[in-house]
Amino acid sequence: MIVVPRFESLAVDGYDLFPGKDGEGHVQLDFQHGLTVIAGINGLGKTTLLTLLLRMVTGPFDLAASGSPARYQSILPAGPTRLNKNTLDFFAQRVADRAEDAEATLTLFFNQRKITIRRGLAKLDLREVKSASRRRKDLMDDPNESGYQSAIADLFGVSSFIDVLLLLHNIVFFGESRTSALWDVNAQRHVIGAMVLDKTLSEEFRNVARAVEKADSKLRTTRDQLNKNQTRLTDIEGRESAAPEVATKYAADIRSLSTLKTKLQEYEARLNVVDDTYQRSRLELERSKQQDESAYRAVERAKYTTLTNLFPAMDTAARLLFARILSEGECLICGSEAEGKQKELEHLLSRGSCPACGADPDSQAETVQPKSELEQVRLVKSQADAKRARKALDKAQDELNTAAKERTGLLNSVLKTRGRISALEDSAEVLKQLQAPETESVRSLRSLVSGLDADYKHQRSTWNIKVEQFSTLLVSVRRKVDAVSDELSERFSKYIADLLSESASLTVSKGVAKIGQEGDSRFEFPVFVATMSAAAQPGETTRTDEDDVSESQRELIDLAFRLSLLDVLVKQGGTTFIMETPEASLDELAMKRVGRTLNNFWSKPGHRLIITNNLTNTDLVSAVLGGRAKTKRANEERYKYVFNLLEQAAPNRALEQNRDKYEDLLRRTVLGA
Amino acid sequence: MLLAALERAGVTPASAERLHAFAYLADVLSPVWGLNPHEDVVFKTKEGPYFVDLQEQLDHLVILDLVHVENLGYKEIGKSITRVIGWYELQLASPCLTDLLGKLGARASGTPIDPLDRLLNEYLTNLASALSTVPDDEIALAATVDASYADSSRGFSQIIELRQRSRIGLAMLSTDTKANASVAVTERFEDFLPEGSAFSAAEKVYLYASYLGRKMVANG
Repeated sequence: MIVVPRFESLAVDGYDLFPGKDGEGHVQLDFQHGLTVIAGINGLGKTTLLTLLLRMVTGPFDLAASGSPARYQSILPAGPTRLNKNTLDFFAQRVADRAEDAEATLTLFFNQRKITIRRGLAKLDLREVKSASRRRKDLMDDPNESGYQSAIADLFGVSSFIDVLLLLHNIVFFGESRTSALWDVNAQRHVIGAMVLDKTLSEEFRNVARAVEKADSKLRTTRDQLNKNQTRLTDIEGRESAAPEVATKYAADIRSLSTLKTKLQEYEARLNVVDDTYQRSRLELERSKQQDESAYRAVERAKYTTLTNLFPAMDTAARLLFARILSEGECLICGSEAEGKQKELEHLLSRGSCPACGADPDSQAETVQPKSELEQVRLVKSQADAKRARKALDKAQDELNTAAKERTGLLNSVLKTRGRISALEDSAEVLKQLQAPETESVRSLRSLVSGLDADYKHQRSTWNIKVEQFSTLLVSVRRKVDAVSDELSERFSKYIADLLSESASLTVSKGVAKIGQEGDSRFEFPVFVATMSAAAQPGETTRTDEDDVSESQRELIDLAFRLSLLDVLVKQGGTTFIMETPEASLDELAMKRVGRTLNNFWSKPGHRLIITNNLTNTDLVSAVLGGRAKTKRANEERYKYVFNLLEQAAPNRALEQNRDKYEDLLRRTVLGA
Repeated sequence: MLLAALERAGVTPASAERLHAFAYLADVLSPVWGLNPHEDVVFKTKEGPYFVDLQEQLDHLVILDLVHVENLGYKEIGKSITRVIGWYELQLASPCLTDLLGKLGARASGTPIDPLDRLLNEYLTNLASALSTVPDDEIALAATVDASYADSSRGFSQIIELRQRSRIGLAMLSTDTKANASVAVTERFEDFLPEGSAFSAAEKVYLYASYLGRKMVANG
């Protein structure tokens, strides 16, 4: 069971950036009210405070030397990496005394277990870790990063400190760079793995992935050496051979073999890429087909209803026939396009005339009901949807045809090249037997090549075993992900309904990860993808790439995904979510929606929400606080949620010159005035 | 042929939903009978399988008076899905029908143009009979609890492979065949038999229909 700690308090001492209200070099942030708004203009240290919260937990280590990676690799590092000097000096660089006397103390709760961490700010050195539990007493004796990391991983309920770092970067902290939990497929896979798999399976899964990568690397090194020495051997054999024509042919075969093997690798690599495109196009085509069908059936329905209303006695088949011509311009009898007839029928029906004989309404025996205006508006919309759907369908069909053509060509090339390699290997083997008796140098090189060949075969078999192990583990991983996918999708839909005006849902798809460089080392992982409606398309379409959506949609979908993961996978002891300037890139309406969603989040028992605000917008904070305060007392109460950097941080020039103006801005931000 | 099989099983007129669900189950289970599925893939939706081409063919057959439809209409599902509804059966009074069914191998007396069609009809009739106990309003649910359709590693709005489990990249060059999840279930039925005995294809189809019934009860 995953535990994401409740942040309880942060005290900072001796750090010149935060002299405190009374200037004595002490500030204290208390998070127990649920919401904390760190408010202040640019340059007062909002990002510094959030970074401090992060670094108090990570210490001088992270997933990469410069912090978290912008994009994740398919395999995570085996252990945390020490921060490079520049990243480590983050706090020292901001003050004249290099933060030599500065230290901070963070208090967290893992369920009911209180943990206090004290670190120096200059080097993030661990000075004390206190636990209220006797069982964790070991943390207090000799604080060292390694012991701390393992104890913290244990408290988070994950298999290693790497998972702690993952959860911090991709779930708990939503910084201004908006590191992605959903859009980066590798990041998502690692995070889901950390949160869904139990410790043993998670550890085993990663170890086996690393073993596959290691086996792959060894395999490639040996193959390179083998190829190199094989070529040398061929050259020497050619020079020393008593039968030059045999040697020449043999050398030519070996050279061709080497060229063909390189070519085969290129074909295989390209085939994998093209196959991805092919599979995506295939899905897109099926989706477009369904949307096209729905869109045209909607038009057909309108036409069918009109015919029913105008000519109630008309036979079902006749009605269907006319409705089809009217909606799609297609004749169901002969399958021809019938645009001329479509126009003629449109004209007749617009006058209420009979579509079969053209009789005017006055001469018709049956009752005629005119089309309502509402129906007409609906029809126009349906027709526009249908046109767009058909365009999308045609495009999907073209893309699939292109991908299929290239894929088939590459498949043939791979098969043909494999055949040629096999034939050449046979021919080379025969020629090898016909060569002159070997000299000492040839014998020695041949022995080396033979040894390398044996090594290569052995390593190939090891690689196969590891890949097999990995594939078997993947089955368990899929099962675990499946078990939470429905609940996760449901939560996601609820959050999205609150956050976005477009509809969106979360669905499990297949992601492909390549481990190592071998051509067939690609594995299918379950990944969550968002499908979303768009103004110019009927239905919802899949957005697998962050470029498929606007910047604010990307952020909000990721926000919904993170909050859903916290709701579904962190069941006990509350949780913490930290978001830097939530209002960035949002319009006014979105701001209110986001504010309300965040208000719902921190209002839950045990939940902590920490956000920053740079006083440029009053709407979001007001919404996070639950709308405009209604009484004077409620107004005053609101300040308990605010950590006011205008009075706690060292003032910059802008603050010194405009303090009154900024304090007024803060008042309006907090009170929603 | 689908309608002819449903006719023999006595479940006509059949709702559009039953026809699509039946077409899906016929495709996904066809390897049990040694046949290839008609479609390679099906698009997975919450509402159950829906084949665009099948509906199009039904429309044509209605116009050609080979199929009779009762209560034809349309239903909207959510904001963006419109599907055809109606009750379909063969137009037995049609003068061309008898000859046509004979050519398709759906009559004992006629000679089919493609000899494989006889086998296909035999399969469809067995499957239609096996599924005949599922009421019309629950048939779409029966398709959605099918092992391939319900496989949650493929979410909604994804495609389900009907021929075999999906292969990607170079793995597609492998000659090993991997049965789809539904066929794999039918193969596991034999685990409960004494060594050396086996189920016939028809028995597997009936057992699978009964398995779907149990899954529907379990899913409420």
